[in-house]
Amino acid sequence: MKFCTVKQYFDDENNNNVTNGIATTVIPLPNKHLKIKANNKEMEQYEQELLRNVMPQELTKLILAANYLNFKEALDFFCRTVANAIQNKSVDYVRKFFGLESDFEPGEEEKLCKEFAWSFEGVDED
Amino acid sequence: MEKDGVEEAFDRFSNLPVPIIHHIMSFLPTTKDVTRVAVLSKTLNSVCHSYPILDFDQRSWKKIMGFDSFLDFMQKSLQQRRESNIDIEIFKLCVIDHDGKSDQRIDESICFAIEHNVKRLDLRFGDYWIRSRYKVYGQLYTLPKTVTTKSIVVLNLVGLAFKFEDLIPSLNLVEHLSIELCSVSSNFTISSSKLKTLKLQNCKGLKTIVVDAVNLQYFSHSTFTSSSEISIRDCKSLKNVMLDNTAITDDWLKNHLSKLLLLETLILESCKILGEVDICHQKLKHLALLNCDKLVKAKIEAPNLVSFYFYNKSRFPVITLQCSSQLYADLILVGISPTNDEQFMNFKNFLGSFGHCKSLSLTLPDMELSLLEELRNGLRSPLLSLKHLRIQLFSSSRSLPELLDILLCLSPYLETMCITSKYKENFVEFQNKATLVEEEDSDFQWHYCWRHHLRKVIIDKFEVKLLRE
Repeated sequence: MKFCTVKQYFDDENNNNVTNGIATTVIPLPNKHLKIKANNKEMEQYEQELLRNVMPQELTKLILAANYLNFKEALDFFCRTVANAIQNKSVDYVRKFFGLESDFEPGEEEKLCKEFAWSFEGVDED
Repeated sequence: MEKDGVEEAFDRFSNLPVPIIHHIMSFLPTTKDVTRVAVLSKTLNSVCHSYPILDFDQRSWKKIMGFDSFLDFMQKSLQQRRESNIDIEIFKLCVIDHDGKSDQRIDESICFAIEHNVKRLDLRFGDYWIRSRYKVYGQLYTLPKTVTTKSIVVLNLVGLAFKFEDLIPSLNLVEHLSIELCSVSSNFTISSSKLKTLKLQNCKGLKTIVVDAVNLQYFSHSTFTSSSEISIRDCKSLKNVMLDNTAITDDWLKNHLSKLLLLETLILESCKILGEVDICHQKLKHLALLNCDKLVKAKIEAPNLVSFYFYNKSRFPVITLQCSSQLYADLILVGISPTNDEQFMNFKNFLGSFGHCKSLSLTLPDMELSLLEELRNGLRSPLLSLKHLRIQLFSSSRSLPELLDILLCLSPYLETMCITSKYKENFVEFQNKATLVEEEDSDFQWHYCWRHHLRKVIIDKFEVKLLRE
């Protein structure tokens, strides 16, 4: 049920969506989840470890892999990790985190910042 | 090769499918975080505008802008979305400073959500805690009549005024319905195969409730003035029923229990008409009879009952309990102080009904402890089978050894005992002799001092009592 897509993937050799590296991280997850399902603290530790070892760019690849494999728990896990990483952080930090470049016109960005000035209060400057 | 790999990875975030970016955003804890995503880049800005969850909570904006500016801000945000025309999944609105008069901006926002096929609609008007606590309705906001939709699955309404006749036709797909602190029409009749949860709490003007929902699992009702008639007999899948200050009779209860065969939890609080209750149910797991003042007698036959909660200020009802030996009973006995022999006998019998429970938790003011003392002084021990006892005292003027003496006389075969008072918690574990001394003469058994049976006493977290607190 969960792994019907996985089976398809292994059957289809010319698959570019999921590279081998990702597969080794994503697929052991259900076993890990089952083992530490009851223990929340362990999950947090595991999440921290995973986050340390994985670069943000990798994280987006992992998300896509989990999505392709139709693996809801892994998808939720990775998305939550991304959300935790960017919550309450400044715009510059988040841009650096994802390697984004601002494509706004110079005036536009200023206008937006002014409009949403209240959302920048109390933010962590990294 | 490597260079390409790095560049490709760089803008991967913006190229994630939009639903996935929305999924990530749904894990962001505050609206501020969600709004900041819009400032990251042009692509993300438009992704934000199609984010299907809208949460306008005046309380979080109170420090930043006043009531009027908040409504303007909401109106503007919705206008920006009109172009994208994406369906909304969740729309939450919480307003606390309104004065009861209709506001076009609020009405428009509700209509906007409905036009965009909202699945979950949460409308909260007024300060919930103050209204609940002081039992007042305050200024209620009139729900616009144009709330006609067939897409809503979850609906939560607090602090509104409306007629059920206007609302119920839109509730075909609703699975979870909660209406609280609203002013409504007197008759609530619903027939739905989708309804799973129904909460009707403290609605002004509600008199009759008739629910025909075969898949309903959870039903709760409470009212400030107890004058509602309820019929939920046809809801055969009900598992949890909670009634607070509801005017149900003994017959109503018997009647309903015989039809609700899947019931697992039943909580009856302040049901002031119940006098003699007869609860006979195979599947019932949790039962609470709280503050049912007129309760005189309760016959409970529930082989699967796991926990029983009781609270009464005025009297000790006569309880006949036929349950498994795994039962945990929680008795809060406050305000009842027997002044004559008859009342004392009632108390003894009451306590005795729980003798075959596995564990018992008693909450007593110190005065009640003197009753237990009297029991020790001359009567048979009523709790011979009790293995785990937990006592919560309001005042702790007794020393631990004194308490232990009283309680062990009451239930000599205890394995664990936990005594909690306002400041301290003492946990004692007893290891009794492995074989129980069987006496044919039952009177003799009682005269065995509890000290004879104890092999070892382990006292955990024992704290020396302070002379002054």
